Amino acid sequence: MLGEMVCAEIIALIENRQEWAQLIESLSRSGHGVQVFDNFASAVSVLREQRTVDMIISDVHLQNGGDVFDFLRWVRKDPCRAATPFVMLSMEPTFMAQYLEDGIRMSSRLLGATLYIKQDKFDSHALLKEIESILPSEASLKSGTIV
Amino acid sequence: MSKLQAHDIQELKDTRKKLSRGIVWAAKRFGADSKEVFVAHAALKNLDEYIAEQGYDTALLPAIVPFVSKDISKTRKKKV
Repeated sequence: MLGEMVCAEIIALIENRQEWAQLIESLSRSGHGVQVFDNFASAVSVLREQRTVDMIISDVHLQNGGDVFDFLRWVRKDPCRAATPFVMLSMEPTFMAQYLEDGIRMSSRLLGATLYIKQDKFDSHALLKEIESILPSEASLKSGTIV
Repeated sequence: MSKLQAHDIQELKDTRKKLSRGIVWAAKRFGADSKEVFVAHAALKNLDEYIAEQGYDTALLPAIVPFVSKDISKTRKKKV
């Protein structure tokens, strides 16, 4: 039933961890195209060249070649990406990350993130559900209005 | 002229305060070089840049608590 699915092009910035493979696999199985990067510089260069990106997902605590907030603001300043859903993920946060979470979550919203997801225990099914809930509609993807 | 409304400014100030306090507490307890502190610091820096971009005079913002290095926090503990 692939024809009825909303198939999106997704860029994911995540560290190489076993758990993430489940998410990528789930997204791919649902018909989405997923490009995975472990550093911001690579993602930026792809975003500069690739017109169609329907969603950006980033691990909050990734710090290879920059940080998530610099990246988020760079994305939001690009007129073509201003409306692209941007999801920030905090997976199995440490005690310190939980202490700092309130400020990080509020900053994410103020700086333009669409969704901030925290999971104390990795649950790829729940994550997939949340991510798909904010994907642009099939019609807008087909017409290319969301880039 | 700032594009920010009064309630936006208040929210931004509250978030800065929350982050600033969190950074100092976390840096003293766990060290300033942890990735969590790095991310919180990045949030703070970007909030300030965003506020300035919106035309708000950042000199009117309350000063944030300076970054506490791991070494300084250790020295302070020894003195106490």
